[in-house]
Amino acid sequence: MKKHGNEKRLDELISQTINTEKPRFDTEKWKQKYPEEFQTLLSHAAKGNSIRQPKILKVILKSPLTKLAAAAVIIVAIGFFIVHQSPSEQADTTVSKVTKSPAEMLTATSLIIAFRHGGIEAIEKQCDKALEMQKPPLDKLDIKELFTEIEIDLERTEL
Amino acid sequence: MEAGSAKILSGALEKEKSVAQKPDTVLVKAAINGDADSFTELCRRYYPAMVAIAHSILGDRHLAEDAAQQAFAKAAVKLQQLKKENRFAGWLAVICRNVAKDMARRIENLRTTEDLSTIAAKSRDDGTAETVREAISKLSASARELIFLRYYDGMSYEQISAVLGISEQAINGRLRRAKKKMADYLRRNGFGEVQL
Repeated sequence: MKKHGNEKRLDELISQTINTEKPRFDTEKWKQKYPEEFQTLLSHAAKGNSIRQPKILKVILKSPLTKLAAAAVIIVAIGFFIVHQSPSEQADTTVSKVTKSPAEMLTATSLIIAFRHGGIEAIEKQCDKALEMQKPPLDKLDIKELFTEIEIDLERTEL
Repeated sequence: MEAGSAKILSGALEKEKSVAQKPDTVLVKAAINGDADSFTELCRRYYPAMVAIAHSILGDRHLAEDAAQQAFAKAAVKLQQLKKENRFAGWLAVICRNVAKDMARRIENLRTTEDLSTIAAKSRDDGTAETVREAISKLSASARELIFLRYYDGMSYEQISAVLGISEQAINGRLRRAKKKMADYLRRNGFGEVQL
């Protein structure tokens, strides 16, 4: 009881010593006293949103739950990309990796594999690729051979 | 004409009332985006607390009010740097503490040339108040700040917790220890009945 009374007495003493009139904030006076600072505050209105926007990503990545969600979205996106990749592209890559020569590309086995991967389109593509590989490269063509071919052509046209 | 001005006045009062009811985080977000009304409402809300903090450092009410106003000016400029809206009070308290400490340093330099008789006159005003003031000054800076926050404007533990960023239990414990130290000092200086 006495202890409680003493505490009350101490509270009174402290209050009497430091408790003065409640300070009241005078907005107008403050604005007059610090006009530049007040203008700086107002200037944030124009650029406020654009400045805060980059922090949204920061906030999202801080939460472990959103981190997991972001990871899941990325995994799903990669999976979706792999599954829905065009079949002809798949056939193209697999066949070109497995086969070495145009002859090998046109065997029944490799054509069946291509058909399984991308249907008739894949077979067509594979055939085109094999034929392309069969053609002699232009840079290896001899000049003399080229001239003889031209001469033959001219003779044919004269006849 | 009179009806029109009355309408404008009532509209302004309504707006002020609605701003006053908003929580801190909403006001801080609006203030960051340049809403002056929200910022001044925050100033109104935390002015007593900031004055109390500055007073605990400076030991003078008028200087403390100056420091609090200066702290608000600094906060208005640096508001964009505030990372967490819910930590506004604590952030503001840090600014206010720094402003008050700077001011105290400047005053300390001036005091060496000041007429010492004014200080002597201050200490002669009332024996009891002076002893209590001395007891407060013997406390650590953080304990002194806590005493000022609690007794300046009868701030609740919840409000003090928001400003200092510590739990209400911690505030209770620190306050008890500070008061015990004060009671010991007062007892040694002729206040026999004060015991905690």
